[in-house]
Amino acid sequence: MKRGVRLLGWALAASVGFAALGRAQTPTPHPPPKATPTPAPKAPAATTPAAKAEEASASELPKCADCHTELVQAFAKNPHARYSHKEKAPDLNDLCSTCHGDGTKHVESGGDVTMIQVPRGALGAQDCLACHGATHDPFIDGATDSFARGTQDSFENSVHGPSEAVNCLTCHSVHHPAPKSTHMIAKPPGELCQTCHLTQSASFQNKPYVHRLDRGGMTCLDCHSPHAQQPPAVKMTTQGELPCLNCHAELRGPFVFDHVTGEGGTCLSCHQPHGSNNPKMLLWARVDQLCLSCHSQTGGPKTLGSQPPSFHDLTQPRYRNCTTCHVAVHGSNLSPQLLK
Amino acid sequence: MTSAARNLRRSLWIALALCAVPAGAARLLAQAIPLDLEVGYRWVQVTGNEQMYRTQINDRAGILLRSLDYTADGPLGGFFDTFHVDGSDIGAGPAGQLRLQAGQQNLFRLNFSWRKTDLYSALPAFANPFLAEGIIPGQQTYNRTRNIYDATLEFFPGKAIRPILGYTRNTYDGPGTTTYHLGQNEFRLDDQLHTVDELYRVGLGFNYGPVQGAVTQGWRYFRWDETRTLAPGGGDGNVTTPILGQTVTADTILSTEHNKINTPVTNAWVTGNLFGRVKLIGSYIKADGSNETSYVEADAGNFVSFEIARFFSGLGETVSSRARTDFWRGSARAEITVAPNIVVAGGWSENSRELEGQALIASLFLDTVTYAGVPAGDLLRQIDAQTSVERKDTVYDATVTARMLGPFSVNAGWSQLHQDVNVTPDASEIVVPGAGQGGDFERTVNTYGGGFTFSWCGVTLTGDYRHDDANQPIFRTDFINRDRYKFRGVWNYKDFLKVGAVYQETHADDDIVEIGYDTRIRDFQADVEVTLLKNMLTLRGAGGEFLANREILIRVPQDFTIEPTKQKEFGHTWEGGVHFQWQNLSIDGAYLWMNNNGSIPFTVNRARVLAEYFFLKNLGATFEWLDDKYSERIAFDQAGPLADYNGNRYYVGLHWRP
Repeated sequence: MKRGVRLLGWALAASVGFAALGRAQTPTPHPPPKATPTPAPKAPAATTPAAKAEEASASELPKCADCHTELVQAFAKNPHARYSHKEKAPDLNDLCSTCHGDGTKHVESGGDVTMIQVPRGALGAQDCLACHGATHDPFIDGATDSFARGTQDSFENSVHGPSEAVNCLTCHSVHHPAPKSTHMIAKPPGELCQTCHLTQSASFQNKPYVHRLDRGGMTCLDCHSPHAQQPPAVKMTTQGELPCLNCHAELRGPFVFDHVTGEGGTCLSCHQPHGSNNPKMLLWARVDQLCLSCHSQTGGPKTLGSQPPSFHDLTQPRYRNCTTCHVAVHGSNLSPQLLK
Repeated sequence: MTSAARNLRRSLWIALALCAVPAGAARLLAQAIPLDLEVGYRWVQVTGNEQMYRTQINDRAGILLRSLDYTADGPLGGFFDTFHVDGSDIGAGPAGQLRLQAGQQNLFRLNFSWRKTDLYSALPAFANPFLAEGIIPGQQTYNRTRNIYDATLEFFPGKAIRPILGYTRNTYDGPGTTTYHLGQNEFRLDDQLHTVDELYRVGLGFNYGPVQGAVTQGWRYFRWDETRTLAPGGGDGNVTTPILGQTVTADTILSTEHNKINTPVTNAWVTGNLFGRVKLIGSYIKADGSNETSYVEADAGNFVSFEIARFFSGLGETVSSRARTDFWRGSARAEITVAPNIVVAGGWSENSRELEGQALIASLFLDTVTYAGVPAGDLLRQIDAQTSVERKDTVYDATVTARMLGPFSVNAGWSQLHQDVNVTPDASEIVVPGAGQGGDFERTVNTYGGGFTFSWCGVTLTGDYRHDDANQPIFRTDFINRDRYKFRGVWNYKDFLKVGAVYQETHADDDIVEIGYDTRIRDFQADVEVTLLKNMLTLRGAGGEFLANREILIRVPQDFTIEPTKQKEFGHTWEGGVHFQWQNLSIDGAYLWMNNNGSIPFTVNRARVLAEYFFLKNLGATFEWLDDKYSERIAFDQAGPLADYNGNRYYVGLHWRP
């Protein structure tokens, strides 16, 4: 707790300090548009007299910021303004044409929206992928993710790959991302995923035993990679395990007396990470029934863990919760019967 | 001074402070810093089972930094040219986080995050042999905190070569209670746990146009320290009736465990794009962990051991154990664009894990007495346990995807998973010998499926179906046949109306009459959102139904008969919400109701109200009321009304925004 408060203090102090520093040293980040109209963005170079004449005419046209003032000014803080060009402070008007194309006709028509390219739908996604089509995009994923994921994402062919139903702009908003969001997502992560994944959302919101989603920083994206190639798009730890162990690191092992996870099962053999009606997010309400569903021998093919029964009187509450004695159900280094 | 008066006085001081601090800060910060900050105080009022409230909700009273966000305007100059910090729910708990992102273009990028989570569990019906007598909570509880820090420093972002440094620290510690089975009785223990998991990493990313990749080497150090002592009043144990004529009690139980695991980790991935049509992706992970554990235990009391057929008055036990795991994972994948918008992809991945464990367990039973009452002195039992597990999972898959076929996209695919597990248990793990405790197990699962999406005139439809077909189970709960369906429909009418619905079902069974495994999970959820007044008034409603039926044959361990055991969940959820915004006032309200008629029958009612009013341009007041009411009904082996609680939280805060 004390460490957390100290960290917060440092962060706040740093925020204030850097803000003051930034204000003192930085030229106005988004200068007001010039009074003199200048050429429209990215007009093709004029090579013929006719084209030159056209260019001269175009020079009378206003810039994007003259009409879309707030939008263009806000773009100074946009990661695209920072990273898509080499210059430290590119002309914001020039940046618009990267996605919206040549705006000359749009301007000449007095702002006709049909005369400007607006990336939408699956075709719009192709515009995004022209730059972000790399299998792994260091601008987006960062270094940490590349280490943690193990398999790399492919935006173009991912589970949420571009179709008319789902495409880049379904989740990302270049101009109006959610406040405090990363990766320019349109809504806070939980709310965003909830748009389509209604049943998972209802489970998190309603069920009594759940991970604290969107409370204190945990989001769907801690476990899932929306750009992964195959559902359920689960991220991995650095050691190639389910993402549960990124937080629950003490359960990783290796254990001398292993149980379930090392032997063919996973955390999901017993737990429901999207929320459960049962304590400890278990699949079964009664622990003895959960355990006996594997540890019974009723015939049929040989199955792992299905040893003959040892006498336990389940009519007595003492025995009904197996973990009362077998406490080390995630694995033990001390007890062959997982008693400690 | 009464506690109520103290609380009132404290609340008044806090309220005054909340008013005074931002007012002063407002003058200081006015228009200078684009800092979005929301801080306040939360009051908590719980009736009923407070431990259950803390297990499920755990919002606590205190000062709360609900939100912090600062993003520097434009290039900063100096050391950083980008700087962003944000945080949420820091203070009163139970979970909070802080992130910092800073860097200088083309030079370095720094990401730092901290996340704190308070974890609490004190369930009335879990590990509780005395529930029928109304004693709660159960005997296994914890009140622990997890802190996760992560820092990554990347140099020359976007350049051809990118050195990367990183550090992650995950601590988990705090008190708890547990149980210990000793001398044919179970005793309650106080438990103090401290674990630290650290990961140092250094790597190199590269980007040569169509070929990109990274190689990272990490070193993980994990430490576990745990002390367990007999809980006050726990000496009688759970069994108060004599065993073989002797009452089993404990006078002292003390144990300490130290565990350390070192794991070097290598990660590598590379991608290549050939001719703009073929994408190749490969990855490799190697992690070899070695574990060393030392354990010391000293107990005194009156105990019985069926294993050595003696009574004894004390136990001294030491354990020295080692485990080693060799893990690697490799994958290769190719994605080929065979025609515009048609992609054929295929891949292979393999996980391989080998574990070897060894434990030397020395147990000294003190002052042993035979069942006939003859003193037999101290008895030393030594176990040298050796275990091993080998597991290999291999996956092949192939998919065809056609996108942008007008409003349609379709995909079809196949994958095959082959699992190969070999387990060699130690004799000390086997209570009753028989098949199933070790040996070779193999399983192959073929999955076929396909899906579509359709989007036209505001209507979006998606469907997905997968069929899994396995040859045999490894565990009894492994399916032989599994079908998964998922359908979704959404209709957006301008900015006025959004209607959506999702149906998904999974049915798995094994066709093996001796096991009789059958599971059906079904979820249906629909929602509707109506914007009555744009940017002013929105109404939302949602409802759904869920069902989970799990069934399998078990052998009842008190009479060895075979009978089916069932887990049932069936219920409904309803939700209604409103968002209202008018000038400087915004109000969000929601009511959620859920009912489960299954193995644990319960009802949950949740109410949420969040109101915010900006009385100055940059400064507003926030009020939040949260109410969570949990009501459990009587059912076999469940807590019933003993679990019920009603938790109200009231938050008052100030919101500063640029």
